[in-house]
Amino acid sequence: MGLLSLLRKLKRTEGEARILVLGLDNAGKTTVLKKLSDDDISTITPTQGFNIKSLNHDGFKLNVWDIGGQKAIRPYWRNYFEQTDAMVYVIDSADRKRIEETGLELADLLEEDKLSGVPVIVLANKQDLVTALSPDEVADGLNLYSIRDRPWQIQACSAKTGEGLQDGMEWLVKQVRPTKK
Amino acid sequence: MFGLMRNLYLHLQKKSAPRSFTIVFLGLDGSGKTTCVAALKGEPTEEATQTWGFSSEKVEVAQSSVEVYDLGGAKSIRRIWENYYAEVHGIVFVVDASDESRLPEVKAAFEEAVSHAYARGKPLLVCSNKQDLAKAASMTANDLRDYLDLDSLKCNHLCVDCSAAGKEGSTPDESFLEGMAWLVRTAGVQYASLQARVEEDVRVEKEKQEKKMEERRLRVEKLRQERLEQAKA
Ligand SMILES: Nc1nc2c(ncn2[C@@H]2O[C@H](COP(=O)(O)OP(=O)(O)OP(=O)(O)O)[C@@H](O)[C@H]2O)c(=O)[nH]1
Ligand SMILES: Nc1nc2c(ncn2[C@@H]2O[C@H](COP(=O)(O)OP(=O)(O)OP(=O)(O)O)[C@@H](O)[C@H]2O)c(=O)[nH]1
Ligand SMILES: [Mg+2]
Ligand SMILES: [Mg+2]
Repeated sequence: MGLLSLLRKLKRTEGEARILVLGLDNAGKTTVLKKLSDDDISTITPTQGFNIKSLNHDGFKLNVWDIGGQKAIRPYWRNYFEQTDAMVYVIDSADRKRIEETGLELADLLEEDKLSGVPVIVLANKQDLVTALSPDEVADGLNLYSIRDRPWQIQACSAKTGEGLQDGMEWLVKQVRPTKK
Repeated sequence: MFGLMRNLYLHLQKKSAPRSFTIVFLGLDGSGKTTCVAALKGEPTEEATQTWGFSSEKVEVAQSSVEVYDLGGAKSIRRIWENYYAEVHGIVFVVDASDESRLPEVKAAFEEAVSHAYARGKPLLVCSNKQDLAKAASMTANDLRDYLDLDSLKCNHLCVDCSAAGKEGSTPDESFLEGMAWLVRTAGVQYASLQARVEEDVRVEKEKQEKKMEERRLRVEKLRQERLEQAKA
């Protein structure tokens, strides 16, 4: 498990990709990133700024940016849009009350020029909780089917158990076209 | 003088401008939709990741430019299909002919799709896929046409044997590509009426969507206010 084994499997040999991880506060963004890196996930606190995880394999470099999602810092998200190759949008699938709110934030992101055409994977996180929404309920809550200008994918997952994370990242890395930077 | 000619030329060119088509791929998970789309693009059929969403590709079929939509077919994502029917000029339904146990599920999903108001009557290609597998022998295109009772549908339809991913390094399956060409030509013959229908249905859907989003914004704003007040108290 882990991002590095994924990179090995995909045999990407050149270039660099920048992946942006966004979503509301408490969605589990930082936990996802730590779990993918096989780090300890028991002491995670809300992110005030951002975390970066960089991975190298055979000259291919993957940079993953995890940005804090609290309401007060969402206006700063736009500082990170430049040169994004793919976006991970994490939601707390058990937070039914905020599903529409997170949908509106995503809708705003999809209208950003700098993110136009950027493939997006929605991580329907916290599937280990019994109240978690199913993929089609998430697609509906986020109005994903109004998207035509980019590929999108939903991945049901749990950052707690790690289930689904690898599959989701595999889809995402496949969407990234090789670039020379 | 030259300016005028140029103008006329451009005008004529516009009139005969190639029409563009939108076609959606439907079918259960694992039936081979993504593999079919890769074959259309002329790409090697590497192992596809399961689709849990949407992607679109621009391809050329029968000298026309075609945008194909590839959707996820798993049970808990299938509900998204109906959101794409309004804008398509034709439908491809892919079936894994080697898996007899799922045929009832195939039939139910198929019937629900083709009876939808926005899908009904549109040109339809059914692919009896995975014919390279011995188990598919009992479900050839003819069998599938009967099983799905295609002849009872009021639309132009064709059912083809298909093997989207066969032996390694095999070229895209001929009968599938011919089926696609048939679909695009058939949609081309009815283009004027199909396009009028698409435009009208898309307009209606867009209005509905906008209304839905507006209501959503109001609800979210209300919830936010409530949370703020709770926090104060
Ligand atoms: N049950 C469960 N809890 C999870 C899961 N993923 C994250 N959590 C918990 O959710 C809480 C928030 O996780 P974070 O990773 O800090 O969330 P975040 O999206 O980074 O939040 P911000 O940094 O504030 O934007 C923590 O208590 C996590 O332990 C999961 O898959 N299942
Ligand atoms: N033997 C054989 N295998 C095939 C054929 N077409 C597709 N497959 C295999 O069937 C599996 C599923 O194919 P996909 O194209 O991913 O199926 P899909 O319809 O896109 O499935 P979802 O994305 O889950 O809806 C893959 O392992 C393909 O390689 C075929 O004609 N013959
Ligand atoms: Mg965080
Ligand atoms: Mg697929």
